[in-house]
Amino acid sequence: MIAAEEARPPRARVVVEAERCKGCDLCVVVCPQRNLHLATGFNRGGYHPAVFRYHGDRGDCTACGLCYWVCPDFAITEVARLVP
Amino acid sequence: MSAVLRYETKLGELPTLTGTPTHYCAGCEHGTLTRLLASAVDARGARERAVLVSSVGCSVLAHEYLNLDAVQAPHGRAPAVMAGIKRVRPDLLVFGVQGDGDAVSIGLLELMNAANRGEPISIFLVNNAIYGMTGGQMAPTTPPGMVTTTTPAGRDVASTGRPIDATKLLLGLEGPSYIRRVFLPVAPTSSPDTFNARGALEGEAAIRHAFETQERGGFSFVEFVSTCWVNWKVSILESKRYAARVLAPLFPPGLYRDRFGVEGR
Repeated sequence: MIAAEEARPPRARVVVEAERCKGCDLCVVVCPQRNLHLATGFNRGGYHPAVFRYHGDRGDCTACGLCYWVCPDFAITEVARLVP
Repeated sequence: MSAVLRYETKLGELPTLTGTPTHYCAGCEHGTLTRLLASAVDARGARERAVLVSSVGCSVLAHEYLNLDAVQAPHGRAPAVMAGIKRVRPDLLVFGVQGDGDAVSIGLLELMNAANRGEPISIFLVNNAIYGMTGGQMAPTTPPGMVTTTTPAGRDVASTGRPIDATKLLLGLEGPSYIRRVFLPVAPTSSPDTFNARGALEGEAAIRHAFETQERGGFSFVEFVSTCWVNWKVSILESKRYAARVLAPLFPPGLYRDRFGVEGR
């Protein structure tokens, strides 16, 4: 499993600043691959912040940036692509 | 031993955003619009000459989140303040964010007259169909039948009239050069619990085109149909569904006027 992960590194990355997130769910419902979900834990504001994982329910992150554009709290601070 | 992975930033931090945590409720389109404004200002490289005029309402603290020079206008008077700044300093990029309670109710006169004179300013109207900051009273844009704190039985058109359509009002004037309406919330799709982000992407383009129109000497106006789940008293995602079901047919999105042909550039 670990070897397979290393063989194919994540091709995209989304950085969520958990302390800014208000857990509104918008990034979760717009993500075409379901790469974002809300954490079970809380942040300092008392919200369940969004968490990113590369392998989503429907596929891998493509760095499309929809989550970045809809986030009302600027909590998604970076959408990056792997340099081939 | 694997090679070091390098990632290139496709979308990142914007210099025009201060990063201050917003006072907006979770999932509010005001926050989305703030990012879109910052992105459009940065795309023009206009941070040093952009002036934000914030109105009274939820947009009153927009200057806290945008790293720009800003003026806070009296209730409804943002278009007059913008026109004044632009006349004294035509080199500045002057834009304002107003709510529907501010621009369509108390400030309709200023909006109509600034538009009629064709002042080269950009006005962004956030229409969430209710008075958000003051606690959910009926606004001129409230759809018929909507329950608000001042219309507990639903808006009755016989006594309170039909909702005012600001975009159509401005279309009746010769002054404006660019008029567009954007459905900003995430919109439900055919598959359950999946929404599209078309509004945000369209909104970013609309703001860039509004700025382009202003630089060519025309009045630009973009209305953003938005939501207010706290005062509509529904969940965040239900407010987006309601907006798509009720507000989108009432305030149809689209490009209504583009005199300089800035779209499609």
